[in-house]
Amino acid sequence: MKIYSVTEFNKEVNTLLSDITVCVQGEVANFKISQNRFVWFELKDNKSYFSCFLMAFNLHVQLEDGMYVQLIGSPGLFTKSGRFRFMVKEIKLVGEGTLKKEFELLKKKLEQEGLFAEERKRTLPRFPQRIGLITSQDAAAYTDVMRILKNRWAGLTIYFYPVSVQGQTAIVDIIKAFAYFNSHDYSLDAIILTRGGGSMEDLWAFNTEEVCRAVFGSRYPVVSAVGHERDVTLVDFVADKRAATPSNAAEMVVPHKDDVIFQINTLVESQKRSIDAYMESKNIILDNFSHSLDNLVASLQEKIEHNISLLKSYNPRQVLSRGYSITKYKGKIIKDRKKLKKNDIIETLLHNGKVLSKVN
Amino acid sequence: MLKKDFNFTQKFNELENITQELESGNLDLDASLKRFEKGLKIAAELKKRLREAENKIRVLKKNRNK
Repeated sequence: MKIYSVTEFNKEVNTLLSDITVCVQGEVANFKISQNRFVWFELKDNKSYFSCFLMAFNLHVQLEDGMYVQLIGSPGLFTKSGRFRFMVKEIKLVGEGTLKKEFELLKKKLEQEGLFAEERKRTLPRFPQRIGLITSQDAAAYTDVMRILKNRWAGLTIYFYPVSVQGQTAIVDIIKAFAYFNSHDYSLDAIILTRGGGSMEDLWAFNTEEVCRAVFGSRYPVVSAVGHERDVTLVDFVADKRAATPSNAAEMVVPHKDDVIFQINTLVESQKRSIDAYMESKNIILDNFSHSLDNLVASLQEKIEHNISLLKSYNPRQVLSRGYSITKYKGKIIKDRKKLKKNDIIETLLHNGKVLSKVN
Repeated sequence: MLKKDFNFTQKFNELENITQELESGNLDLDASLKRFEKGLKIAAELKKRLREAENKIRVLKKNRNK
């Protein structure tokens, strides 16, 4: 019989056990993370328990005591202490209660990190031309989105990235899809991430940290529509806009062409009205002008008539008619009596004739 | 077939701008009529686009699981 050293024995046993990969279901207890690097907990049922170990960077779910999980991994020993540990490779959450707990834990974590912050939510453009679509080609969600986009809007280019929308492959696919859009310059106006309804487990990919972070990291605004109206996933909190259903997502992204045609007609109508109003205003100015011209002419006429009567009043004959007379001597008007001598014959002009007289 | 680089947003914005310019009344009659004519042309283009253009689908990657 071979004689082992203690170290050799521990190593040998560890090697033997490590070949086994199993799935064990149980309840999490005494969960802790040490030095931010090592994750320890126990998996138990009502009779027994064993120790579990994994590195913190391999932990992709928020674990808490009391959660039900399925662990995929291998048994083994720590070669130094010979203590048994189950090396965890994958953790699957089990049961509605556990999923809800996980949901709340992750929600709190992402919220504290600012992934849901209102101020980082982007607005969607009024008239999109290029949109990304991430969903499964076979799903009703795909058909719904396509139908609504076709009915409502025209001239769109839809960049469709088919993904699986359920299970572990969904997580990987969706992350790849966002990475693809981030690294290709399609100048998208928005990305629709959608799938139809299902159980909480069916929709689980949309509640994982990885998918949430992929949505958060999208260079284009994301509209999420996962499941039915009542289903809320963590992705919905991270997305720029949350739609209740796949159809609703399409409605949010594009306006209805009838509404826009109405708007266009309204704008043209208003332009016509502006032109009419302009013409109208020019006519009024013209009217005002001719009116003031009339007034000017009238007042000029009045002035002229006034001057005419004034001129008339200066006519010397008018004066003569009032009893004045003009005296002339040899055709010249006499204003000075010293200019006349005795026996000069003077001429007196009256309004109706003249009189000759001799100066005494 | 409509041009590939048709920019709906840009044209719609221009239509709105023309409407504002005309409403402001700062243009003379000649300029107003020219802008109005341009507006009519854009409106017709936009409506034609909405009535006639098809949506195009580009599938980016075959789903390897199917």
